[in-house]
Amino acid sequence: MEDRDLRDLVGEELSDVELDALREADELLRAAEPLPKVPEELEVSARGIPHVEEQVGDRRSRRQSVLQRRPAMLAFAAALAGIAFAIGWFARGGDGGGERSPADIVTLEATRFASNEAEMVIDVFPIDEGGNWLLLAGAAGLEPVGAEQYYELWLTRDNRVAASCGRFLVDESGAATGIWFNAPYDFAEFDDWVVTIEGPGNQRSRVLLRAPVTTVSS
Amino acid sequence: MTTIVAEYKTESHTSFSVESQVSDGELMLRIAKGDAAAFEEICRRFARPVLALARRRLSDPGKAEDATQETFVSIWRSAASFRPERGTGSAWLFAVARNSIIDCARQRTEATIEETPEQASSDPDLSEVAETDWLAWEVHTALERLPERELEVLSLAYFSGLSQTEITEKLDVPLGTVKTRTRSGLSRMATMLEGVRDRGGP
Repeated sequence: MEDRDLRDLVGEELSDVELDALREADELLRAAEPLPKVPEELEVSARGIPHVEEQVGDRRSRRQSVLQRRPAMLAFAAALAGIAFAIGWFARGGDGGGERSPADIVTLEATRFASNEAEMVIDVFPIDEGGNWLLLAGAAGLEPVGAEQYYELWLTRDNRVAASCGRFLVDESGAATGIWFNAPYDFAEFDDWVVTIEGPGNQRSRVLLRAPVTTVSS
Repeated sequence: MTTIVAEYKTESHTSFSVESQVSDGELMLRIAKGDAAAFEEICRRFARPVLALARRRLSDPGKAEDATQETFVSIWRSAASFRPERGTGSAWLFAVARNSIIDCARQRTEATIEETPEQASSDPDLSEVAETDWLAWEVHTALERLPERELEVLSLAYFSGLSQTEITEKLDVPLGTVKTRTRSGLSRMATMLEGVRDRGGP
């Protein structure tokens, strides 16, 4: 701010006493820096701390539990792979009876925490009789993750991660294709899709990709 | 007891209402009991002052955001340790923020320790730094308590360097209105900042 008389700012009609009362505030403001704008991503996690904190705690205990049961989990993972294959086969229309069309296609775009090229495209298949939405996703432009880290697709509500749709990894090029998720949720209850990076040392869910929820539930 | 309205806009100051005038200390006591709405209000009041403080001390914007995040996590976790008889909520929060920032700075120092030159530091005296930080903190938290229209004119005048005439044109309001809002905003700031230089930080 240029050096100018306080009286120019507040008007001529103030007495010297009234002016003096404002002088310290004027001097402190002249010396102050502007208040920064809080980045959207920071605000998201700041407002969701209690929730994120619970998730961090949950993840820690889950991770601990997974480490303790690793051999059994490996067998279970193999079984899951078979189930995932079966789900994919079903979504594609069974034994060649024609591919099912997605009810919606969602493109999640990069936030400032990801490279501009990063994105995820999700085919949202129509809800099944059990109330589940099958999602077929492909991602590109994401950084390969470190040991014990992974990406996670969420639905958010009121700027908080609210429901997990599943986790995924990317290859060395930062891409992943043919990722199947299951979303047994009413989309009307949520605001956004987001992808976060999760893992040891994370105290918050950093949002890398985002898109508004547009799929109509009915 | 006044009810805190959780609905607010972080970047705006439209919630200058009875709800937002609950003291910081009272909000801390409520947070200690797990009151999420009180926590939201504290986030609204202090997110920008904490981030500003972090940016002053950490040159890396990402680190500054991490420190801000960790400050609020600490508040949520340790609000029960706040003692109103020992000081204001704002002062306690300043101390929590400063500790989080120091932790983040230490992590950075540990990562680059081998690059540290073996010479005396030319950094300003630590007590001067602390005093400057405290003054900036008090000014920023006072600004956050101003009604939106007063904050707007003060920001344009002091931080954007606009003249009163330019502010008049930008806001499309009469010059007298700009001066009235400036005067009112400064008066409110003067009340909130009275004796701040003597109070000292936590």
